[in-house]
Amino acid sequence: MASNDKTKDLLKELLANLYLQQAQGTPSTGPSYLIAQDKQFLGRVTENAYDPDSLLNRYGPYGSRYSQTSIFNTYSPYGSPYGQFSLRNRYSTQPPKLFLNGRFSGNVSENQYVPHRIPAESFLYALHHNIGGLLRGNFVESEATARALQRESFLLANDGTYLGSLDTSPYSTDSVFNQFSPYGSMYSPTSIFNTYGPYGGQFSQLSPFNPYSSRPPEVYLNGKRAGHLTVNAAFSDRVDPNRLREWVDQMNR
Amino acid sequence: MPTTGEILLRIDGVLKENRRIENVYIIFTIALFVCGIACIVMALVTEKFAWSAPSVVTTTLLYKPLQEIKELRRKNIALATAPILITLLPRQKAAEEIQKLLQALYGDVQ
Repeated sequence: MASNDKTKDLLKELLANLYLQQAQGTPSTGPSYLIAQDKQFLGRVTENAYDPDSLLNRYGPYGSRYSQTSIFNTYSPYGSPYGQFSLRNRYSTQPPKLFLNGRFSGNVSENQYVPHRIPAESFLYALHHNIGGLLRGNFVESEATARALQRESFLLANDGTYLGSLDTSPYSTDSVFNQFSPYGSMYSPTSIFNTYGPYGGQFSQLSPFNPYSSRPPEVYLNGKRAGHLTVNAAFSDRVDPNRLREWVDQMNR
Repeated sequence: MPTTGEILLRIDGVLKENRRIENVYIIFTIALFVCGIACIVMALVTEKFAWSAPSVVTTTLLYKPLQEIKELRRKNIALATAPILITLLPRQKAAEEIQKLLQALYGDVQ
């Protein structure tokens, strides 16, 4: 998190301390809220974006990207892809709990094996675009739909598993083009480049590299389905996985 | 949680370092400017106008240090303002204003 710019680091630290002090002084939760499994309150789900405790208040301790108690801070324990209690951590077994109108609604997580799971993307999409629906318990059905509605470019396995974004930045934490991300690494079970994983190799039905597969992953470009990612020439709308990077560059031009 | 005294001490430290960097840039700017002037004087004295060409380069190079000096001064203002905001405003408002300062200085990035 530390940069070479001491001014920036100092201001960020001051801000984080202020938010921490605010978070410690939070009196009540309200009927709809998010709470971490270490009992840290993570903000109210409310239509009022000016409520200081609202998840939607960009300048509050629960909505700011600089606060240590915010799910939007990618360096906080609750918003980081590596945080133990984070909704962004694909391996966390202790994601935040969502309570709507006083009742437990589910665990908001990117980990698809968590019981009573609400996909993090669906929750965040509803939070920003349909909070009324969210308060009534209506979510977008799937993570893929939420991502498509947000016009993201990504890969989706035939079994509904998200297989990474098509962000061409090599530093993107969920890009298939980042060889150290869970979707670009040769060793990750959710990577199409893992020869021995369920989504890679020449023999898996869900792999884009299986020339006989009938269930290859789908490619979404800017929220629209662009075709199948497969080496199987039988697909008329196929995108060659060996030339995926060139294809993305070409389409983004 | 750091005390107000500690915060002020750290802010002073960063301000001092920023000032040192600013001085380096100012010296660099003056050196470039003097080089450019010297070339023009040389061109006039010797009446060889090819000597005026390097001053174009030095003038172009002035852009970077001047930009950095401007940036450093903006940062110093932000740093000097932060403790006042913290002491005078309610916590919530102070946080909002510091976040706005950060966004104004560095854009909407983390």
